[in-house]
Amino acid sequence: MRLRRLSSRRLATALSLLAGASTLLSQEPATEPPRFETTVEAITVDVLVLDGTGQPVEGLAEQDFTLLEDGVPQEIGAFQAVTRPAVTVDEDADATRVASNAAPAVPERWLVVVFDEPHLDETQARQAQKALARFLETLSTGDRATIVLAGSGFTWSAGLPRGRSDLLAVLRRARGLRVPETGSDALSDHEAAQIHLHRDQKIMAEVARRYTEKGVMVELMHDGEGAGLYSDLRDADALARVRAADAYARLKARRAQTLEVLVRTLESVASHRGRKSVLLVSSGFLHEPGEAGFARVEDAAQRANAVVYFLDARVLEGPRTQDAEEGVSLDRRDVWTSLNRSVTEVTGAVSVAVETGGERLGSAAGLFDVLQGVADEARSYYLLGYTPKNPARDGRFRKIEVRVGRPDVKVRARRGYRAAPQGPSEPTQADTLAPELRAALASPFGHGDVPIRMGAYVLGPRTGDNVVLAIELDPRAVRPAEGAAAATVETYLVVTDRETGATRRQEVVVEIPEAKRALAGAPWLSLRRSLELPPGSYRATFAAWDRGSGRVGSVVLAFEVAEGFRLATPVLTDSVLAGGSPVLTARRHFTTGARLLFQFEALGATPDPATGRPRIRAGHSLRRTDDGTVLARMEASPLEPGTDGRLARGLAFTPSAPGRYEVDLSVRDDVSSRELEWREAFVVEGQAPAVVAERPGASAGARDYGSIIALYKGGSWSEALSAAAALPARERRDGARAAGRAAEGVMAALALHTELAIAAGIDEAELKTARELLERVPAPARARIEALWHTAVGQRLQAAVRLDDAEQAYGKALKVNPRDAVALAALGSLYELRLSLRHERLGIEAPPAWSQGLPSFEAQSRRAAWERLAEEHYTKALAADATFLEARVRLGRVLHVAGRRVEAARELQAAATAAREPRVATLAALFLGEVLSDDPAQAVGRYRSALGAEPGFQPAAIALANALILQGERREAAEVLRAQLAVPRRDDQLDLWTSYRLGLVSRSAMALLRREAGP
Amino acid sequence: MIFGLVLLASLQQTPTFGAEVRFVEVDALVTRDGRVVPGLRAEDFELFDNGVVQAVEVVTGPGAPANVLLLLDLSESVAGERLERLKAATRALLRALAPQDHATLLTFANEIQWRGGPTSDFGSLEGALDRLAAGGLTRLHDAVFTALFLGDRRYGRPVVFAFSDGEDSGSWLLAEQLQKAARGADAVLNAARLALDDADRAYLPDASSEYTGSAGRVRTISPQPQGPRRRPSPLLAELADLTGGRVWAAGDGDALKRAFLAALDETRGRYLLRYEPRGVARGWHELKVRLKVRGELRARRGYQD
Repeated sequence: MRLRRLSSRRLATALSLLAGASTLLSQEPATEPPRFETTVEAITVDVLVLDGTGQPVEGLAEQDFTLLEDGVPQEIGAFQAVTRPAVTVDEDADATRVASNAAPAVPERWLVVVFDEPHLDETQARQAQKALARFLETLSTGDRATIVLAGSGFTWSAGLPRGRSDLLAVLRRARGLRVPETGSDALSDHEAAQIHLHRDQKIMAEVARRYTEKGVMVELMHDGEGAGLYSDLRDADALARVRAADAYARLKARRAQTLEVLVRTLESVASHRGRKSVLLVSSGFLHEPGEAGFARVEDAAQRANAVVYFLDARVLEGPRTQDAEEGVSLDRRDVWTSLNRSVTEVTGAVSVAVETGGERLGSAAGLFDVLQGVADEARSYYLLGYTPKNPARDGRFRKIEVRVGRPDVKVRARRGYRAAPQGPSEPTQADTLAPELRAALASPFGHGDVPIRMGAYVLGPRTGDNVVLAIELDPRAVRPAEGAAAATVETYLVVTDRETGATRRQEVVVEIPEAKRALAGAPWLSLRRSLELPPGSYRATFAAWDRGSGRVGSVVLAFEVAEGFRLATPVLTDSVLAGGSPVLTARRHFTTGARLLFQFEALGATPDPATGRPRIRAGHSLRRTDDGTVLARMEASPLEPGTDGRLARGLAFTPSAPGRYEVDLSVRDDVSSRELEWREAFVVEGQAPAVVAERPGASAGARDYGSIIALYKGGSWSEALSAAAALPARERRDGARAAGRAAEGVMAALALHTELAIAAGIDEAELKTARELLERVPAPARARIEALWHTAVGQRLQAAVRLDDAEQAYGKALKVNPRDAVALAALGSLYELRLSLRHERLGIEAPPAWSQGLPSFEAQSRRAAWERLAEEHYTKALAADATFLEARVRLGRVLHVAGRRVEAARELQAAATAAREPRVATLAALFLGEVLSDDPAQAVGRYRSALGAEPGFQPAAIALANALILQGERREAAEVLRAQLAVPRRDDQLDLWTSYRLGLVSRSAMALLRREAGP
Repeated sequence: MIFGLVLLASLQQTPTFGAEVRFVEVDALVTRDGRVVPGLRAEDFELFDNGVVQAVEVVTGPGAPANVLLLLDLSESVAGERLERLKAATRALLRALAPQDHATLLTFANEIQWRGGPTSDFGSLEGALDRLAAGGLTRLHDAVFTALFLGDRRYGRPVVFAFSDGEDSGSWLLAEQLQKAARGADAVLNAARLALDDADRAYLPDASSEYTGSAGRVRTISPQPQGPRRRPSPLLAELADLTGGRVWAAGDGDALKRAFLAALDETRGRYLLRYEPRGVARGWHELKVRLKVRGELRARRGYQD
């Protein structure tokens, strides 16, 4: 394979086309699209047949249709009846990060918006932005939208809901470029055209009168600048003519720009079958019959089978008086002209709409109906292809008529097309770029003749570029030119910055040797393109043009380069290089039995001021989305830096059944309290491999199990757990038994199976395996390990509010090691939890009398007993380990609840002074504030400290606000509450307060067990 | 109720430079035969602050812009059909708001979450509503506290519409702390409860359609549920009564939606009265507002300063 650069001229052409091209985030195929051989002469007509009730008529055959061009019957060379199911929504399609053009799924509801910046002033633009933003919010999953900013030609397409924020961001970029003329010599477009084009004496007289009455001439003669510019003008008439010529030139330029953008937009959607709707958001422009742009728009709309709707932005902004716009009072003598003006100045936009089959919309409210109407019509239609019998290239319009041999039906089809002009074509883009390539580059959905896939990987700040685009191309779709030994494919990559519209480009010619290409089952050609991109949102368009066959393909993908705390794009792959590096792929389809690797890396973590090291936790789950089965789950656990300093983790799994899957990843920076989530969806296809367990013996399974244990011992806990969860249960058990026999693996196996048992509740089978392993732990360490093990299980049971079971587990732990600080503190927290649970409807043991007035004597006794037991166990935990500060905080809290304020304050103050961990410092300060609540100033100070240590900690904010209110500081209290609510939160993660109440002490016995399993 | 400080000069004909006055604002709902009575003037009201009659003025009457704070319980028990019903009721309320109104959406479960507002773009709140999912504890006290003190008067008189189907679990504030704080709150609290099954019916009021106690009045909109009954936890009712609002209990069908809309109607029908307290000392002020015309009046019971 040989690479060389393309000429910059071709690329420049490609880029100019891309200004009008659209992108789409996801293109999972819905159905195989109709394929029509494309030749220069071939004409394709989309035909919609409606019955008397307006419903599409299905089941027609080719012989039912008659097609005439300029009255001459034509031979239908290609016919296809297209019937698509009702709206199909594939939410998972949005969850993948790769794009493919294998069979572009043109959405049923696809709205193309042309935001006519040249014809909107700032006020109108803002109103239109609001209306469109509201409309975008109503679009649902599966809908698509394209926004074209007519001022710059910048275009962005995206699918909903994932692309909504991108579309809204593009919308925010839209500006009103038209500056209303407010000077005393202002002229409206209507007046300018009437005077300049038609020498309308009445209008000229009105304008001249206005100029005279407003003293414009006097101003000009006495103004230095005016005197120079208009020194040869002798009267107001002359000035009106000059100003009209000037104003007309500007309006013509504005209109030409808008019409050109409309043409380009319509061309870009033409390659997609079915009807489309284009919404022109504008305050309108004048119609001028001789203006070629109007005919071009009409022609482009007919070729694209598109309807243009004109959303009148003047209506969106509400009635605006002439006074306000002109800055002067409207003279009653000018009323008629003003009325005329309000009608004529939109005739151009209305004409475009009406001529393409659309209409003027008075509000955005009708948009949804328009969109749905187009979607309904797109469900069932017919494609007719023919080669015109009239081969003349005369540039004339050819009228098309389609008839259907059924009574009472209405036929809707394009009304004609304009034939190519005679002679050599103008020196336009067509000369520098193949027409097929132009279409591919302009396509918002990708072009499908050469199958291509693309994935974007935004990587960390290591050496080299930070963005790698992995591109895969099907070599069977290309072929060498006559007599050549290799297929030659021109490739174009253009990356566009969403905010600035700036583009970066790469063009490379790829040669694919025939021997490689023609291999049966040849793998797809893997290409990589690297770029260094600053943070921002981007769209990548990759197009390939095969010189041998003339085929083209293109694919578009949007991606984001984030900054701050973020994830490098996780890698999901089934290929690993010899050195162990994962191969970046552009696929999310894998085969059963393939071992998949999911690797992620956290970037931009904030170092802990105390240690200088980041504190990141990550958890994940692997789920079959077809039936919701969770195959593996790992609760959030610390992400330790590797030897290279990277905060990365790899998970391996082997899905054993075909279906749709997804990995849900959650990463939290405990220092900055920021959280990230990632969902990666993928599909597993093909037959399951032979069941491993059926092979003689368990050697193969045991070998796999052995490598899992090695992974676990090496600290790759998540990967090991995922791999273990993916093993058949029998293999896991056999592997555990084998590990139990080998002393060096028993600790890792014990920790692994304990973790598997408690990962998502308590799995009794895994717990049994773990117990068996516990028996194999060598005697000197066994008591200590056993205490840890029971405590780990107890902590999980306590989190599930199985308090009696948890109490038993802690009891067992303390039986083998009565001075185990973690078990003592955990048991203390269990009694504290019993104390705090007061709501019987939760279904957990709580004294029923608590919520019903005064507690009964029995309840009071029980409460006193729990207070005493909690205090006793925290005290013992501190006696075993005086540095266990959370136990001290908890002791202080229990003492406060028991009404022993002085002792409580002493313990909490000691903990607050020594605390290094934010969790401990926050809780100590909060509880200390509670203890000191009789002194509001002191309490407020403590609550502020608590919030300072953990800014997102809601109880501290509530406590602070309450204390402020009691001091009469309601305004500041409201500010505290508002600031607190502004902190982003996650629905699915326990906050510190809930975690405290549930007794989840910071020292996790499971984490200590893991440490025991280490090398 | 609000305490305000304004320059005396702005209220009186004769300027008194540098002096300040405090004023108190009180929401009052006046109905006659179940309908809001419009067009009342200051002389139609008689207001006693700790027994001392005060000179009141009517700041706004029925139809003034509403500043609605929607507070929705998203705890585990709301998941499923209830959540959908709650969304539908909230959506109906948002759609019933007028363009000059403002709304804020808050939810609570393990934590209180701000979902949008204050805004007149109610569509954006409907969008946020669609994305809500239920799960977690019921941090009711903390959430009600937050909503009562969050309202910004620039957007109109704050009125809280709280929905909860359960008792508090996991709040930092105890009930008595919330009650104490609510005495100084500016907002009116309307609360709705949803009841669908037997367990919930235990929390619906007794067979008589209304019960009146120190906790205030609970109105049952749906047909009376069958099965064992018990008085609901009185906290929300007490807070509603204290702030001049109501508790609405809604059973099956569209009752919750009707409850929300009825509460909104009442909100729109309120008068805002203002007076400069005279002859009373700081502390807890018991308020009594009487009507000199025929009708029923609902206003807050008092305030703390």
